[in-house]
Amino acid sequence: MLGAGVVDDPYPQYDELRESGPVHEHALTEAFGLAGPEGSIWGDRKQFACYDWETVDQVLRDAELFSSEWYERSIGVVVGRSMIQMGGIEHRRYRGLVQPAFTRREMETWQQRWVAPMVEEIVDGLVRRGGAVDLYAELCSKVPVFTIASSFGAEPEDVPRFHELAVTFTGATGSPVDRLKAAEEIATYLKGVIEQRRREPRDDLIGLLCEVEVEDPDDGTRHRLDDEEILAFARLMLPAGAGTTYRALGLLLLALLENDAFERVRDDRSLLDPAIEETLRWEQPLSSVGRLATRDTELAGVEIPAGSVMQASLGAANHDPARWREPHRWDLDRPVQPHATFGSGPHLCVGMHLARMELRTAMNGIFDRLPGLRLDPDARAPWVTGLTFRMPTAVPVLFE
Amino acid sequence: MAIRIDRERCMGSGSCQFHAPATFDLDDECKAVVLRASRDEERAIRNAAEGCPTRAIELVEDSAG
Repeated sequence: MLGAGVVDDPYPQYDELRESGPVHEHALTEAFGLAGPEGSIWGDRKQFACYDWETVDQVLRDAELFSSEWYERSIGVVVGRSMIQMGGIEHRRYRGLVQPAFTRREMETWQQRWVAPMVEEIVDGLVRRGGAVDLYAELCSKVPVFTIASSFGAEPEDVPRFHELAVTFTGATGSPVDRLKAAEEIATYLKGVIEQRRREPRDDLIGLLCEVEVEDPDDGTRHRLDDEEILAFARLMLPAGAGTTYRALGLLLLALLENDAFERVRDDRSLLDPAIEETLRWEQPLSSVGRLATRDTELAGVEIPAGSVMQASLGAANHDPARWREPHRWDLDRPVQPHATFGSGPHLCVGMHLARMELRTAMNGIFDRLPGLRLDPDARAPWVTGLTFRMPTAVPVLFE
Repeated sequence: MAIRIDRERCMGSGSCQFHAPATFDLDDECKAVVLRASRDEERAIRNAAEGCPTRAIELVEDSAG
């Protein structure tokens, strides 16, 4: 799955591809000397990739022309048919059901109910233990999965097991058999929650999904979601919302600590949102997304036949010098501009306000309780690695 | 500068509200609305319009002069 160790610094290569492209006929991985189409889930199709801000933005926004059906053979295989692979009116209807549950205002409730107390508990544990700690493993990995588990209404005692299953399910290392087994156990658990919520409504995410009605596009009748539809959505939240925010939080910590910005943001919290946005621009937990061309077209002068794969490099777009000055630098004083990390168009990340809230809440907890945080000089210096998935190797810290 | 929102296009992502929280809100139907007394900088409002995933925000420049 092209995670840690595959590539450390893809940006010089992105620069070259952008300048000689911005659209190339190849699988993105081939450009890095890795497997070509034969290793691709859509290996039977022609492969294209794009690398500049304008083209990436255009591809993401034009969801009719560049379809998310690409996900049918990736996430779709493990989570089932969910809104991530839908298009047009069907996508709009399903997304519309959950959009109100992910507003900024709703996230304030999530923060108070689940995220802030959980961050406090994790940080308290670290303070009690003291000594040198890898925050990436000890904190970053926990916050997103614990948040999702809580929003599903998992009982506190079930959360560690849920975390384990989620790691296996979303992980790049486990065998497909293990992943499917974990998916099944998660499904069994969630089916129990769904049954409970149908009997006894509650205002968590599964409770909401049990209540909402979707309109049939053909005859206008409305029906509640069936178990499979709820499960597909719930399972989608794990790959979409767990590993991504895990990596983002690690990247944020690393950016603050390596750029001597920790104290500055700790003492002026109005800089926290800009620090989060600059980190999301600078490094992307997910650095590219796939689409399928729905008809013959032309993109930046390159003929794209119907059915082709188009990979949009979010990482290359976020480092386009036509949009950002000195793009490879993490710069807290850079004026905020929309970046590509959450995508754009109708499939813009539905969890973006959730991710930002988790990052903000975790950092505020760290600033308040571990104000002397610094990189551990005796540990191996961490770096950012990965091609499709970008992440820090570790975040080894001292805080006393 | 006037701000117009195309409710048909708006998907309720709340992206505008993130960029310019004193200018945009979401109503009961999860559609963007413009708040009257905006205290956001012009740059933030432009980010909101540019960042809108469905291009549902139109900024109409004052034609004076």
